[in-house]
Amino acid sequence: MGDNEPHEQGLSADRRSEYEEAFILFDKDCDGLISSSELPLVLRSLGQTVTNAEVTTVLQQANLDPRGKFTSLDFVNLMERRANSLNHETFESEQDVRDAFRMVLDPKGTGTIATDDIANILNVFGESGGLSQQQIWELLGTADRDNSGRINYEEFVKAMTSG
Amino acid sequence: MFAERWICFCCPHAHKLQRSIVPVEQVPSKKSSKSRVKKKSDITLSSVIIIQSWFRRRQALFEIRRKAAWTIYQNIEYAGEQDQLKLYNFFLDLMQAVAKDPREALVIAKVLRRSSSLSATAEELELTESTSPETVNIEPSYKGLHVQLPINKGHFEALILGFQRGESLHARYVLLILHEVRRILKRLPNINVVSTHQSTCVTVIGDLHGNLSDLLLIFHKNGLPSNENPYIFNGDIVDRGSQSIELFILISVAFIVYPTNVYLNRGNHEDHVLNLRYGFMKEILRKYKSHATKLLHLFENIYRWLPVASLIDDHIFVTHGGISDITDMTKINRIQRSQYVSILSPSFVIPETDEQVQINSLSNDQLLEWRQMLDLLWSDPKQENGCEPNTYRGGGCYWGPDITDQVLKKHNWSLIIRSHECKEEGFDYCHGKKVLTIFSASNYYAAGSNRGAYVKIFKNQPLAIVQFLATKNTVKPLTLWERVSHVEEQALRNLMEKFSANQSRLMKEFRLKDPHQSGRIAINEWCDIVTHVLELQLPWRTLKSRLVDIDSNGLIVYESSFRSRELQCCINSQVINRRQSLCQTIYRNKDLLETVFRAIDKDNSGVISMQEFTDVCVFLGNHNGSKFDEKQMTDLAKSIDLDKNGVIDFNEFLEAFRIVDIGLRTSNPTT
Repeated sequence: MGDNEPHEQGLSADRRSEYEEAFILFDKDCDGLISSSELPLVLRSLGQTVTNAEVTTVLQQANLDPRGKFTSLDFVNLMERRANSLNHETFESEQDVRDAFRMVLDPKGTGTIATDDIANILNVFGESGGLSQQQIWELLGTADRDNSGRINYEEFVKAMTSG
Repeated sequence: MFAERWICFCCPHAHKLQRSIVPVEQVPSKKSSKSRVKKKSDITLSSVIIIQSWFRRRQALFEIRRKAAWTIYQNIEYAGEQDQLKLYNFFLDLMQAVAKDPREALVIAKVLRRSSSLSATAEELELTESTSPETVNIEPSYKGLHVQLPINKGHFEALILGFQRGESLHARYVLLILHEVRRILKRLPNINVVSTHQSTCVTVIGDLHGNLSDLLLIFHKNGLPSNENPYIFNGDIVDRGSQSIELFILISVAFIVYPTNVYLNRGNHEDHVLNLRYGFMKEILRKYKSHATKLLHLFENIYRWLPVASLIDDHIFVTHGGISDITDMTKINRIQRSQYVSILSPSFVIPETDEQVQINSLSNDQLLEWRQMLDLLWSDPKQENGCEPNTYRGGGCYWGPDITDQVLKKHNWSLIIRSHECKEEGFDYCHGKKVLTIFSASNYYAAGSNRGAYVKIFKNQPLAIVQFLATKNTVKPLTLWERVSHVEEQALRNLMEKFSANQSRLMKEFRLKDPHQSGRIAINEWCDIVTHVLELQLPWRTLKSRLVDIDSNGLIVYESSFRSRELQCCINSQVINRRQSLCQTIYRNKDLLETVFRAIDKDNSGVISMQEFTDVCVFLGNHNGSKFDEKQMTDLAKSIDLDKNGVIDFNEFLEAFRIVDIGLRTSNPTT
């Protein structure tokens, strides 16, 4: 999306408002605070790529307690810091993702992969990205229409990307 | 930008800004958790990382869309309720001052007056005579269930089957059942006394709002009500959903068959004033036509006899809305609840006749008593301490955790169970788990929007909460992203209607900010205008790409949100062209107009005089901030040819204004 943010200085006013909005949406109990453990989810919802480990570092650099909570002001400042130190994000294309699936799980090119395998992949490195086993199954299980334990990953990727 | 106060999207009242968390000492850096995975080839590894990061990002994007859609529903719902109650409140305010314009006085009095102004005994007699089941005959063509006293379990089960098949119960039998319910309710105290001593457990159901499928699902999961399986229904059985009457009948029959093991609490929608606006009245009119007036009259006389709360084992307090700083069980028990025909207007407030317009000034005691009732059925909990009037809803309070502690301590209670607010998971704890909200209408905003839940209270075990989601049998269960998309789509449609209904006002403000007529304005200006004109505090920046086109410079092409839907008058299209602004005003106030028209239409004929029609429009115009010019309104009604000899079918009038799709909005931004 086009935007006019000045790269050197801080974030544009629009950007700041956008981040504030995302913060408010994720503030479940409306007390003006979000816990650090939710930060990865918020960042990803804004389209950024970050691992849980990176988040801890990011928080420490901003002098925020990785086990604590922070306000929307903290959040926006944190985003500003990140924007300054980040190179341009390159996101994987739909093709990249499909290729990745095929590479890892479907070398024979059958077009389908086992849902068990996907769940395992997501849990490699011990990071489930905040998703519980149940949540992963909810996302994957319902894509498995005929209960065969396998899904057509091309459709899956397409549905998740364009939906 | 970062003001002292902010408003979050789900609770409309402002929160105070918390001070930023004091920075802590640098935590000694631990080694970041190393993976314990076996070494894979580099290519495979990078593929795995690609999959992970893609998946998590998509999932997070769905999360934020789901949350944004949720805020749309909540805001629109609350805005609607606020309208209704604002109207009601200022009716009362106006009555306290002298109504200068006799026409205004007439409107107010007509709306608020109770249907009869007889003494209590005379009223009872009148009710029995006019709504007796004997006054309704069964046609030979009726093939549904027949009911005679005494009502028993067989009737209950037969009704479940019948309603499931889509059958209707004849008006005569509905009257029969309602009279029985009323008879038993009159004997009950204000607060039901519930004990798990015999049955060892009791199930509490929250708002159902006319969702029959939810109740049937609950009975399926949790068993039918019986002496061994008691139930408490915590209000809001009717309104909004499409099967309120069936629901009320079923619950009534269960109550009649097991009067000591089925408990009913009054909800804020068990109120004829709200039924005017929120669908129950419409449903009865549609399903029972000529008998509707009798049924409505009887309902108006049943609600006031519903208890206002239940107390389980002396320590769990169950009520529909909640509490406030003055909640006091002794005082509640002393109230004569039958005076509260509508909780919004107890009988000591309403004028007896059309002529008597002013209300007597209320004593302090009366006001406090009224507050007790109002607070129980209308209040909502809040995060911060304190207790303040719930101006958003127009009745009841916002109460904080300190008030919960105070009231619990005063009465030696351990938990408050309430309903009244829709929750995504069907339930929600707050105030350190001392307040539990239970909401039992799943799919409340749209299919897949939220779960329903009920809670089981046990004698010797911790309580258990059970969630559920009613789905149509014929449709395959949706995948998560299909569900999110569907819920979001509905929400966005509702929102786009608001845009169309406010087109003139929005365009006027947009143009002010666009002096060079480029058709574009900056994002922050668009957000400000939209918030202010639509009066909706929503995450506009998150939503904007779904509502309007954005050009390559990041500017908003403001007219694009009007391209796909527009307000039309389906009887005479010339009308819209000449009177855009007025038509939009009518559309925006459709609900309000309908409510008042219907209230005036005492015999439920669907028709009022042209004089009454213009009186109402002008009156609302003077007090609602909208402009309904009397001449314009009369002209309008005439030009769509709805004035038939000085009377107007107001349903037809309102239905004439509709928002329709006129083609797809292009997703490519214009240059």
